[in-house]
Amino acid sequence: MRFSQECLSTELSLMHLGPIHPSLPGPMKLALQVDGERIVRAEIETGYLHKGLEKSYENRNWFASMIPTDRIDSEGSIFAEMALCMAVEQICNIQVPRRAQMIRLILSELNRVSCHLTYLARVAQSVGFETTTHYILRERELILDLFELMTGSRFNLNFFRYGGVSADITEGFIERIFEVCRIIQIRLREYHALMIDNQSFVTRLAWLGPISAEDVYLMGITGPNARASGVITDIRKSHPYSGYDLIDFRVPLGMGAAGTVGDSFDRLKVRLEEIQESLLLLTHAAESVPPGDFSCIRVTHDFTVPAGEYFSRVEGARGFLGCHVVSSGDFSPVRVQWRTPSQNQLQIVPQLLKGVALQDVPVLLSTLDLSIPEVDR
Amino acid sequence: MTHFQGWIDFFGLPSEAPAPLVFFVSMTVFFLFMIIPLSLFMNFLERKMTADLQARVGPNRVGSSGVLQGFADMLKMLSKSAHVSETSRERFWLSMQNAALYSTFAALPLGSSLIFVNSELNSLIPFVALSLYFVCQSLIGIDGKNIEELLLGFRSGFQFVSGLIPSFICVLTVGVYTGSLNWSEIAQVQNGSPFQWIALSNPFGLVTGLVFILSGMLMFQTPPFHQLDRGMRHRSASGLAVYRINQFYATLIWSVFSVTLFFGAWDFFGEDSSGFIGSAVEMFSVLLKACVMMILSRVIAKALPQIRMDQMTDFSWKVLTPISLVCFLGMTLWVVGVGR
Repeated sequence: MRFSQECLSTELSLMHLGPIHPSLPGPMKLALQVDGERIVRAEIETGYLHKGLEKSYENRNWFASMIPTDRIDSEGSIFAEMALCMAVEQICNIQVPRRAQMIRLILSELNRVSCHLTYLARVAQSVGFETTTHYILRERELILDLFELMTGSRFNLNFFRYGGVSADITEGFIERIFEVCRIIQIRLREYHALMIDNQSFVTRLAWLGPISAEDVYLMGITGPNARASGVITDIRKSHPYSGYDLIDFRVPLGMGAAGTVGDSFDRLKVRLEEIQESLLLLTHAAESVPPGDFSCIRVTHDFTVPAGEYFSRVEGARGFLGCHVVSSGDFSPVRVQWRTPSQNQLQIVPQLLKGVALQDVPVLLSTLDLSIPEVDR
Repeated sequence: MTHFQGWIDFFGLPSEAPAPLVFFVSMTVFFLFMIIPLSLFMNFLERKMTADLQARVGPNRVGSSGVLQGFADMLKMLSKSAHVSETSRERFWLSMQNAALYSTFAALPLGSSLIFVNSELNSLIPFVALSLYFVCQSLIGIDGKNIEELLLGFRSGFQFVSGLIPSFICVLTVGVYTGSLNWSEIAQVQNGSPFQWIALSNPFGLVTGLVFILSGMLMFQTPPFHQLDRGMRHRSASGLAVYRINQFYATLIWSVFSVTLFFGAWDFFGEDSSGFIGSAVEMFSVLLKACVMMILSRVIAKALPQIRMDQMTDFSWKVLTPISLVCFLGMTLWVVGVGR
């Protein structure tokens, strides 16, 4: 008894990260209860980037609704544009021309490659692998140049319109796609050598933050994070849209290549493979763009949508992006609600952080590919 | 003739000048006219070479091709007003840290007549000084305001100890080969051709040299080993400038030790090194080799990801330390069996 009274008591310490911290994916608070170097409990708090985007739709006409749509996720703005356009086109019963569908597919896949390259650069940066970060961002510039050639912008493209796209393919765009795909194919082998075949890099990621298939279903995790855990989920396959039914492609799955299925390394490897598949998709799509119109209607400021509602779904770079549009037949939407992939993925962060070393927090968060603007809107 | 006659010749001081005066003048001049400009230039060189590796341009604005970037950065840092105030305790530990670090100058092997302390064990003196440096760093963390600083202090201490043990064994290995732990005698053994250098004379020497260099990188948190404290925690701008120069000096002296122990010391193609010119050539030779080693290790490290702290200490205890022990044993057998 006397001995137990003389024992030293140890308490857990509390650490607060954020709202602005270099190891966080965006403005959010992370409260960590640590036992030395190990995290015992974690709590997250978001909302620091809430801009009232969903509310702002109610004060805009349908034509101007594309502007807040781009801001849902600035990196992957094309997916949000696609979701909104698909929802409105279903309510209005608009048939998008095949040429416009192919243009949309090409821009979507380019955006997917761009988002995945940014992901790889971010993960490399989080483990202090600066050289690889710069190499990857150099390749991403090629894609951003393509966006600029086609749409005039590098981010927040504002290119899709209800019924098609805002302009036809620019001269030289298709040839540039082939060239960029060829260059990135070569560079992918370099990234493979720098990351997948690099033992010290693999050691940082293997066994870190594994997500089980059961957690994927329970938390509603979608996209590459779900596929890394071995769950086959891809909207492009299950509910094809915009020409995805015409082109065959493979959906990569996580196999536990280094540690266990669904760990950080699998999440990275799946995205590398998805870049490969997207490049093949792009090549096929660029070869098979049919002649025709780039839009079937001309959308102006007084464009109206008949009363109705629809929930559209697209496969964004981060996962299942859903858009619920409600119209009363007026010049403005009644409600535009978004189902973003990062919102579900953020819920598993406290569970994944348990038992993780403090130095692995930025690595783990970067491998989840969270977008705080998507969460807070 | 004293063993620091070179410094007396450099400054034209009388031969009977007291050693503390010579030491003070030498250290001040060396710091102001060698360490600071060298740190600025090496920083520029590293940034340019790293940028080239990463398909970037690097500094190219200030001066011709950005050569004066270091001066601009230093001026900027010194002109920023302090936004945090250090406690008196923190200031005390920082002063102790600086004193420990710069006391190594007394046993810094820059030339045959440029060493102030020429005792039999002067190659071990820097270990004592650097141990005090890291003890002070740990105490700064322990005295810190929050859990982050406390963890940082402990981490620095553990990391240092994990690098200290294999490097100490490496120095003993060199002592076995040369028969002495005196800088001058270690350098004497390596006089002549590069094949006399310990790193190139036998395989155990080469492996021991690599272990010593890696241990130093681990101790001083040089990439690819994770840099725990980038000097930005609760430091004023001028404090950060001092911290950066300290980091450079610590890395430089470790490179100088590595060069002296394994890569021929101040030997310049076996040339005679007496007098003012000889001392200058010796210092130039040591510093040139040390700078090349620093640049190479930094550029190679840029091509690797950073390693986590527990992985670093694991690497030290499970890889570097056993290898250093094997090399110690192997060197002993080599000396007994083959000879020097």
